[in-house]
Amino acid sequence: MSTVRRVFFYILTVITLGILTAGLINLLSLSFDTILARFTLAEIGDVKQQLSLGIAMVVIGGPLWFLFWGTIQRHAAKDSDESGSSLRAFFLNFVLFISAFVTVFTFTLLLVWLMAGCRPEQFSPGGTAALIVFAAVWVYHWRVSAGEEHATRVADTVRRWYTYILSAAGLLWLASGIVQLIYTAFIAFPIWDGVIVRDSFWNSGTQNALAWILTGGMVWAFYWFYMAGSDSKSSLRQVYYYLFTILGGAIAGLIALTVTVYRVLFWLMGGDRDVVDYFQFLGWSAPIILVAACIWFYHLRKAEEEAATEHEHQLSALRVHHYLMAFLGLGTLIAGLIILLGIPLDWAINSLNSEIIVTEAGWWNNHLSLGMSMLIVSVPLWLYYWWQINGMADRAGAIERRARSRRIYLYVIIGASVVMLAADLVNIVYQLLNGVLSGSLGLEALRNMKWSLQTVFIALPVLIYHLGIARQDQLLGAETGAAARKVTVLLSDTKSPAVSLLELKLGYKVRRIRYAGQPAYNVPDLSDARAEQLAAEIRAAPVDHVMLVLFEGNVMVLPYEEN
Amino acid sequence: MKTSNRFLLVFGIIIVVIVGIAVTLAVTGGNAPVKLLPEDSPEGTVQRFLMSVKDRDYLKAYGYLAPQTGQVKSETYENWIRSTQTSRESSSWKASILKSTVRENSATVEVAVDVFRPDGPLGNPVNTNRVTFILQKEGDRWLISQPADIWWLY
Repeated sequence: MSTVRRVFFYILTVITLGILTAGLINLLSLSFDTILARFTLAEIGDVKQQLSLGIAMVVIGGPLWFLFWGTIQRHAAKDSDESGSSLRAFFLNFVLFISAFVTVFTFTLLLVWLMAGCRPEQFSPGGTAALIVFAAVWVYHWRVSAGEEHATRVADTVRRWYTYILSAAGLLWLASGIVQLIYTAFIAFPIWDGVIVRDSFWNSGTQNALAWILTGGMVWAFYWFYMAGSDSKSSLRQVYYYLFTILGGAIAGLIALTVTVYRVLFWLMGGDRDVVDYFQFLGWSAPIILVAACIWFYHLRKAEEEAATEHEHQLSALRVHHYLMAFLGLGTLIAGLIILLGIPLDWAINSLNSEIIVTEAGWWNNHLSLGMSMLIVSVPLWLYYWWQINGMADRAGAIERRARSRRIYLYVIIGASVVMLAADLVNIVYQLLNGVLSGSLGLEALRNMKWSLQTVFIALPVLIYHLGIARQDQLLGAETGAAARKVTVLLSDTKSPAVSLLELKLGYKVRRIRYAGQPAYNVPDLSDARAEQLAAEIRAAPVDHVMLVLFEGNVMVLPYEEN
Repeated sequence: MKTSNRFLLVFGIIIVVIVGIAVTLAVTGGNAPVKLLPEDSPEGTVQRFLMSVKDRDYLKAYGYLAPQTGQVKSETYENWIRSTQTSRESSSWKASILKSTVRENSATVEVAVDVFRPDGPLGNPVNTNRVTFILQKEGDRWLISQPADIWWLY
């Protein structure tokens, strides 16, 4: 079957499955309504219309779906390449993705209804019908998908996307449900002033939170522990770890921590003392910090454990984490300093302007609290991680300075600083020139360039400092790149730490091939000095290809050429 | 000491200086009371209207609006007070006069209102709204005919 024909069949299968599903939901919903006797005589016309539409969709959509899907299945049974093909993986995971999401949302609705006391008038026939039909669609396609063999790499990747997106969504639902539940409980405590009417704790908010905890927990447990449990080497898993859970957890926790410190500082400085129950914000900020810390810590440990099997992987994981956290810390530090710098600038403008007619009491304290809270959170964070990074760079030398994550970190900061400086300088020069040419250079121009002045004063030292680091790295060989040889290592145990040590010294990966003869030779342990010596020999090789043979305490370095 | 560490030390000192100046200014000089302008002037009327809004004394603020003109004409106090409801939590503001023009029975006062509302990292937390108040003279008092609502607090 040609690719175009296959695409045609898969698209029509999706469309006809949609029609069949909608028809079945319609009919099931109608059945629930009939059982609950919800109709009045006046509505009977609508019911007939709904019934007719439902039957029509099932009668037309059903046979067409059987026809198209049946054709695909027959083709898959004959052609082993079809089962596990990329196109089929797209189709199956698309259907699984949609049906999983609808099932989760409708299941949560059902849980809320059950927890609210199963009142017939609150029952949602449409939601329950959708739950049954989409759950059936999911189970059927799940079974088909589980039976697939010989999946291509693309098919595996599509499958991973589906798994990690659902895993991330499940974790998000679980985490937000926990935060919501704690917040609802927190504000329900009988400690807050001025409450004259209090709803029962067992309200719709609590029920919703519990439903999302249950559903999110189940989804996350299924996709993370069962589906993704054995997938420890994929790149997408690293993206999930470092960009979603570790970075996401850190960002959420730091934002909540900054808001908490900001509001406590603002209160300590006398702001919003008249606001009743000011500290209710702790009900959401404290659980966010707690939940985010749990997510961050668990995934960081898990990523480190998985990377521990290979020294270079472990180092990369550690490095990525350190640079991400340092980046977060530096970003928050810059933001805090910009806000704090606004205070003296504002003060200077106000000193020149005698026409201030109103200033709210919290105006200055708000600036100070926000800036200080950002500094309190970011300075220890950035200093800790930046110190660790500097230590790594001092220990590993050019290899560390050449690391991709370090280069990205430095160039993103330098690039962002340059862009920020350019934008600020454009505004400052524009305001000055405009003021001079229109004869209105004065307070108005200063007001208009205030934000640019704040950011330019901070962006400049940040740029200078990181340019200095980049220059230092360059002098130590970070930009030259190692003259990488194509190194192949022949040994009995391809997981030997000796090879990882050699890779570390070379600064790049080598190809490992396993000696399959008998008896297996022991791979010699390499001392640090011996590994360095071998790396030097490889670098000095007269040709690009080098083979290393490691056996029984001996190492042979054999430069060779391919004809 | 390495060059980068020397830089770091210098930046640390800069940070301490900025923090020191900011804390000193905010704690000592920042909350000084503003000078009250004459009540029978357009600027003084606008100042008292804004001060009443700041103190959430909306009945008093309503008294500075011209009842028979512009937007206020069709509005009762109840309707006006509803339109003034705004999220004030954790936001603060200050106002400065930019320019005023006074004629015999009418005047305009241009005011810059800086509203502090944090909006994500590296975003300017201060939003400046420029408002032109139009006033008219009724007897010996100046009253605000426009704007009646306080959109500029958003």
